[in-house]
Amino acid sequence: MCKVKILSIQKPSEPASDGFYDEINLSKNDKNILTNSLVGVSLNVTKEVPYMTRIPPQRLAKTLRFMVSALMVCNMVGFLLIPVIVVLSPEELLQSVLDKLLHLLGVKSLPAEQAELSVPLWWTMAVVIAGWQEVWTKTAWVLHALFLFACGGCTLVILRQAYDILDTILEGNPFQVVNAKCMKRAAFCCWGISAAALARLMAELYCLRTIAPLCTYNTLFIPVFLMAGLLFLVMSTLFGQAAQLQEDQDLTI
Amino acid sequence: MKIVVNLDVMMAKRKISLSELAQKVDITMANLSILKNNKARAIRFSTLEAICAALNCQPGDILEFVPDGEET
Repeated sequence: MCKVKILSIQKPSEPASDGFYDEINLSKNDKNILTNSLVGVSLNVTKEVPYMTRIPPQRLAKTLRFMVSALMVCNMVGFLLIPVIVVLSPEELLQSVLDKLLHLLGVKSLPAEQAELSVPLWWTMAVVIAGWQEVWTKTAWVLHALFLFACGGCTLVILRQAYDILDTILEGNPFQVVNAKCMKRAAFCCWGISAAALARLMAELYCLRTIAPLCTYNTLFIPVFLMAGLLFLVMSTLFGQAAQLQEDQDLTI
Repeated sequence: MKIVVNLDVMMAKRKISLSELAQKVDITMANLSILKNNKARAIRFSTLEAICAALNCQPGDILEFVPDGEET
């Protein structure tokens, strides 16, 4: 794609008309047709515009990359908090947060020390350290923590691949073999999460001997991430083919 | 087997440099260099036409088919 300014057009036996044509966008083929087919047309190519830079999705890609970066940071912080989440009862934590929210809204009154919203940093650090020390003392906690670490690691890899792909989109050259490889890695990570969820479901069914684990979000993750992995694999194949076509196009003189 | 582009031979015969030819044909020097070094995958008829017009030659003067085993 080129940004072209027509400087002048001169018809036979007439003086040149120039100076009042706006810049227009033309494909290279159209530019060649204009210069080769018409006599007396003078063009000035003011700017070679990469074909991706005028497409609005690049703005979306910029926003998405910022969100992916934020998610990656949250993911890495989450790694530190996994033992705390495993050791402390999630229901108690949730109830405590809910009570504070209700106190803020004036629905429920709490004692002053419980209503305090700010948490001293040293207290937070102490809880995190205690969590890391305690989590290895029970087999159930160890397995739960390992499951969360595996899923968190796979999620971090998926986010990193998304970040790299968005980088290439912002550069204006998304159809590269590198992106196909990124999507393949993301597919394997999705299947890793699905496999971990399946293993956890099997373990819970074996230990609890009820069908209650089938009614949790964990069960939903199995088919969801399995399909997501297949989708990434399809996209990887498509991007690989697109990269091949792009290379053929670039090397077509 | 492959198609070999003998552009440098014809350019030497016509005593024209790469930059001059690129300007005449209206393609970048980088692309012309890719063509000259046999790295191109394909060439458009419009480009071939422009090159033949600039060098005053036939496509067969520029393109040569080299079977397997005869590549130099």
